[in-house]
Amino acid sequence: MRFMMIVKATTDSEAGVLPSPELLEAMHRYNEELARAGVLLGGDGLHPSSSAIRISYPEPGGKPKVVDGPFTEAKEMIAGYTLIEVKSREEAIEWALRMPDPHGFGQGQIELRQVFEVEDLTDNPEAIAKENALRQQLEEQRKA
Amino acid sequence: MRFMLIVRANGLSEAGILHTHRFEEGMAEYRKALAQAGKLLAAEELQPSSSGVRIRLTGRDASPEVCPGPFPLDHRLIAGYVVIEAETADEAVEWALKMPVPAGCEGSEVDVRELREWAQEDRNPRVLALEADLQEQVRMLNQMQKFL
Amino acid sequence: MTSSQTHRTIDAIWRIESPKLIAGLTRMVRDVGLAEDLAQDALVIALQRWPESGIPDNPGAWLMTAAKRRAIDLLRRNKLRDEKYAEMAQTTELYTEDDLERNMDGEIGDDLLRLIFMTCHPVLSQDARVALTLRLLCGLTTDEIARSFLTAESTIAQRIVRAKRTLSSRKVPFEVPEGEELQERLSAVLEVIYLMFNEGYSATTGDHWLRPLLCQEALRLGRVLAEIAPEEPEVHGLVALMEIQSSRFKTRVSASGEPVLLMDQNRTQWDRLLIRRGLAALERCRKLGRPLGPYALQAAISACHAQAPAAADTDWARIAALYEALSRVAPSPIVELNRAVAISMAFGPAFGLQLVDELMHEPALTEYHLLPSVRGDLLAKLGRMDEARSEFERAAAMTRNSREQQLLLKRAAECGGSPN
Repeated sequence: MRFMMIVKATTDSEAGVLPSPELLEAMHRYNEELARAGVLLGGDGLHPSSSAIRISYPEPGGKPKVVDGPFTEAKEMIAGYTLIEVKSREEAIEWALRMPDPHGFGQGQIELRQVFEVEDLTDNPEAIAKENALRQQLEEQRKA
Repeated sequence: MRFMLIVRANGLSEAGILHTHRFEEGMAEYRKALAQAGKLLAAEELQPSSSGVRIRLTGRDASPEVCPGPFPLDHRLIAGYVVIEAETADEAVEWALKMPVPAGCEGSEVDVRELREWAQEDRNPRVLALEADLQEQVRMLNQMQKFL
Repeated sequence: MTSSQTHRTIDAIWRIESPKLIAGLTRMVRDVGLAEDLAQDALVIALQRWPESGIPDNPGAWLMTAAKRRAIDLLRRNKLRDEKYAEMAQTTELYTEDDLERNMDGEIGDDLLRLIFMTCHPVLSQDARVALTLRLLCGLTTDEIARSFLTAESTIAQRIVRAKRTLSSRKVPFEVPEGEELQERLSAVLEVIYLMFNEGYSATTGDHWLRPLLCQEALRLGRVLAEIAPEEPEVHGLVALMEIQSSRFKTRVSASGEPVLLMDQNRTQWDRLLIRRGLAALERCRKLGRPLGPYALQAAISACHAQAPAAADTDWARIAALYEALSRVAPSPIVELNRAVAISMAFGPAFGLQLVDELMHEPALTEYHLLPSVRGDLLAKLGRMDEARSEFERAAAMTRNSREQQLLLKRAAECGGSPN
């Protein structure tokens, strides 16, 4: 299963302050660790929202509204993401916990979100039921 | 290498006469020694052939013949087996020689036979993938409408 | 955190840490079976303590320390713990506490690499290599391995025990081979990984949750190998091949479980991320500046399909050229047949047929059923139906697979006329 580790924006990242060399080094080591464990799929850092564009649909069926950045609510924006492929939710959490504090002054926040994959999107109830039954069986065997 | 020590049946085993306590203990010791040396893979004793069924596979067209036991006490009949892991055939024979002999069965026989290892040929995954690709390509070829 | 949550967390930590742990311990004690036991002892201690003490900040280091302590205990007690170790002591060189200290520090990537060369060692049967690699490097349980290979758990457990014993009795060293041996041994490693992948990818039966697991594990192990052996072009070639094939994983089977052929797959559902990763791996391979090996070439062929927006847009001339290259580095009749079909797609069936006709004289191929089968297809495409029919019939007589036989006879019947 795939997870996206989303690093939230902070006042610093929004101000375009670059991370300290120490943090950059720690991040680099962390990414290397992910790669060496074979779980890293990809990741990117984003420019501050000052260069962003927001398109919204304030009215149902209406025309889109285009607003240029910057936007104010830093904590609701993202500064970057890392995509990983793991075997379980717990493994994803474990990796997320090992990520260096992305900002280091109390605003650091990482959000972990599971990524939809094709089979999640197929609405074949039979296949889904079969899969669930199997997972349950596996879970029970593990407990036994 | 894996070896099977095959214990032949005899009159006593076929009659279902229980072994002496001493033999049972000896056998338990023997298994324990094998297990402790990390050699024991399996050890079983069979019930007398009176509870068995023999199926004669007669060939492609005729249906198989099913005969209930007991079977004649001939060379084919076995009473048990032990499967061991041994480095060499000599070692397997050594172990076979240590097998206890029940009282009254002094003429009994044990065969030492090496088991065939998974004879499966090594699969080359790259070639398997190429064969799969060939199938795909042939299908594409078949679907193509017209040629130059 | 409830205790079952802690256990699940420990499971996850184990999955992340166990290969490194076992690799590091194997370097110290020179016996992979003992190393696994020590690592598992450490896990048992963690399972006892962590639910109460909480999970330590650096769980990997914690487990390593606990395992090392066990190793030292074992030595100090001098009297070996049980018969199992007594037996090992007879077959492996005994290590001393000094060795242990000396061997404690080392680059973990190197250890993983040594471990994988060990689990894929040619003294083991192919099945044993796969099982042991899945167990030690992927941290799968014997149950998971058994279910993905549709085998009994006891068979797999036994296979693993015997493999570990063989490694120890044959004194297989914990090292990365050098010189000429390296390429040969590396190709054995790549074969094990691709075999794992293929097992999951090509089978349409079996546990549909565990089969993809094999693909994922193979891919993950390939990605690991690409990090720890970045100078080897074929490693990147294999990773590229698996990434690109994986990109089609979800589209190659229909909702009802029927296989879907490449040309009928919904290309919009191919996983773009994996395709991009595959192309990047291929690029990494090319940058090493050496001629492409068999895996890289097969990956490049697969990439041609991945890059075609529709089946009709496929660059067949390039595919034909890549098969030509493949026939130079890894010549085989199956490559020639693929090339013939690619040439037919690019330049017309007459050219493909010419190539196949040359192969007809090859004595090694007289029993190869795919040869008349492909020849039949090409003849049919050229409208030479009588000849095509007899080729399909010949192919049907050669194959032992009854399903394939039926298909071939059906193809023969479609050619019309009366059977020969």
